[in-house]
Amino acid sequence: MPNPTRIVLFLNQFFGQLGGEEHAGVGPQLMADPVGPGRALVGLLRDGEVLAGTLVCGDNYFAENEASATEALMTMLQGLEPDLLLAGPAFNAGRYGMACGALCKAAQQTLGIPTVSGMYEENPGRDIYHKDVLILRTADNARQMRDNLGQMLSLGRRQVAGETLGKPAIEGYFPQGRLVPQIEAKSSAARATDMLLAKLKGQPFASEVQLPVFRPIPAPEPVADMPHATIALITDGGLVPLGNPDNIEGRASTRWGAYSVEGKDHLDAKDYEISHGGYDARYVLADPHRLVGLDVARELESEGAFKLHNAFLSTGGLSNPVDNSRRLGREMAVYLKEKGIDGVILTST
Amino acid sequence: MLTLNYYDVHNLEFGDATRLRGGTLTVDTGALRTHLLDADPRLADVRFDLAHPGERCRIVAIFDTVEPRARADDGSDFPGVIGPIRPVGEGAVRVLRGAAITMLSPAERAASSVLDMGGTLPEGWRVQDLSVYATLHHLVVIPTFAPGIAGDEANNTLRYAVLRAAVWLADQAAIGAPDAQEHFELNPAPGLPRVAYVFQVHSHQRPSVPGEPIFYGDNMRHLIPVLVHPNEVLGGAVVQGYGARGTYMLQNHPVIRELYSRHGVELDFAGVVIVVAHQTAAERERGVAVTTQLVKHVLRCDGAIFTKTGGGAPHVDMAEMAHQCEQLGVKTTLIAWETSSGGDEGSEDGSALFNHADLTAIVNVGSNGYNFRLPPVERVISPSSDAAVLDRLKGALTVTASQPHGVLDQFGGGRWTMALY
Repeated sequence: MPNPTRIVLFLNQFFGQLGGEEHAGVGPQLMADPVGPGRALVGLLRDGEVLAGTLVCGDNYFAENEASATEALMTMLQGLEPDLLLAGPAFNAGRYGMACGALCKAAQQTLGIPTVSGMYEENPGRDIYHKDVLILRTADNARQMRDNLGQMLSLGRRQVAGETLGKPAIEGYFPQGRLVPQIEAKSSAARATDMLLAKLKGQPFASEVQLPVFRPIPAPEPVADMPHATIALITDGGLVPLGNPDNIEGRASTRWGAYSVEGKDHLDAKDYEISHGGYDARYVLADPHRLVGLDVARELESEGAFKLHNAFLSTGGLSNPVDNSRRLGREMAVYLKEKGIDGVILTST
Repeated sequence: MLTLNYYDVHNLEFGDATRLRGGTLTVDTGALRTHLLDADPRLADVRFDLAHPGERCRIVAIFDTVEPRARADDGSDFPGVIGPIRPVGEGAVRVLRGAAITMLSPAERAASSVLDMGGTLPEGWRVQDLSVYATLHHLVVIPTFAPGIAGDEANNTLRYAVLRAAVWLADQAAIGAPDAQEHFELNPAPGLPRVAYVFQVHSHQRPSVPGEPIFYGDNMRHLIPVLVHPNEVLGGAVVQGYGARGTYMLQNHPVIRELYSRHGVELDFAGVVIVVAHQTAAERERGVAVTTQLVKHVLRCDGAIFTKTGGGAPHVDMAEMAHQCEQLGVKTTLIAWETSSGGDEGSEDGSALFNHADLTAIVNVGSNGYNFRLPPVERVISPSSDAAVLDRLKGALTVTASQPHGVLDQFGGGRWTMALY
């Protein structure tokens, strides 16, 4: 008889039956006997599976003491010698979802065991932890608690057995943001038609591309005193000195450069090239000011409109993953701060 | 009704006469050479090669691949280009099914478009599962230009020559009773959801030039969306611009064929709206407005499928059109590559350049940043005859997804994808 699969369940104070919001400050607890959803879970276990223990923590306690609460829960968890951690389901409870995500991530990293949580789509825990933690898609309420526990158990059981899970839409978990190259049975035209017919009939279907989340960027305050402000020119149109000294890639650029215009009142076309494969660059190559308006900026500077920074910043904006673009932006912002620059003029293509 | 008369090609060889016998297509290349050179003094010479499915052979610097077809009646072949401008959605066309004319471009970088006819990639993928072109018998045309012919003029020369070769071959060889027939007709299909296909034919990221034939010979430089019958596309009204390589896919348009296969069964195929990706905001807005009206109020559609051509701006144009259709209650599905360029291990961040919440159905034709590692081959067909160059091109070759011919097919013909897990 092989050793049983030891499963640990994590719950908040409410589902752990310690009480409602008034008990949300209760710290980490270990319960030997099944409690709340744990009772339902025990009924779903097969031979060779045991509920080794239930961990409970109050929502507020966890939110206010995330590091120490996680550490305390991890110590308890380790003592239970678990093979699998199930956390929640937390449905649409935000603090609970955050705690489930944090504990699952820690258990995977520290103990190397599989974990499964369950949340509603809009739970902030899903947003934060979906890449690290396998999270079952649930409704925003507990009506399907027993079914959800069964699905979480099934996903966990198959991971313990070393099985590869199918696609998120079929298996019911949230995509974890990994794109895996493969060949489908049907052509993309056939898949598109299938998807459209399902959409027209109101039947379920799964988009093959996740729409990105563009976080809103608040507009900065206007520059108060333009005549005394230093302004820099920045472009993502890929204008670089001849020879492309920083090797800025023509697609999905990972680098940017700052190129001196000290002593120059215009950009000479023969000194520059374009590293950007996404637009017809002939017009910029003929006259770089169409992209980086140094000529006009110098005129304005001489009229006292502002002071011009003596370099322009450049990168290539073609097919750039958002994460990478953010990093390039952050690096440029550090440069601008260091140089005491008050405002920038961004030109794109 | 458009009828395609299929003459099936199972083998391709050089010979003294051009004919199809027992599935073997024999080509008299001397006669074809004379035909092409007589028609266009911009060509100094052409030579030919053959490539077969499964062969450890690599074709490089591909300009375009065209299916050999010729009218079986007095209709026009490639109207506005090599044939007179006439509608092409009716009548009968002879098709050498299983064969292809592939034109090479001496000015192209060799690796810009690569077709391996045989072999298996490290991922376990066979080349014929990645590209439909690897399943065809190719007559490869390798041109040399007359002095002074370069740039757009060279591309124009190649465009005309590849279409002429395709028509000549089918006209010479597709004789007698066909092996099979297929009829395309949009019979009334009442009671089923009406579906349009919004077909972005060209992207003016590279503006088409005067004389660049795309739609009935027009370069579509300032096209306002236009409604066509799907048979016009299948019949040769649309060919690729100079920067694209999939005229074969237009002749066998995967979305149009798929919608036809469901017509009268699951849906009512209402028509095709031809659009382009524009350069200016006003043109984009005009395109969105007119397309939306055609789909919703002229065709009275319940749903529409959208595809794009090219990179980022076309992606946004397509999304804006689909979004406005959704706003009017038309359900949409989009076919797009995912744009995260995340290399071999993609990431969902930046998979699309739009985030309209109503665009809930997008089919992923793969990532344009993926690297394909092609195994070595035994033979290379190239415009170059430099032994060192050919030797290098025979070896293992790593190319990004837009380079292997037909893999990242934006018209829906591929099966490769980046699946989200």
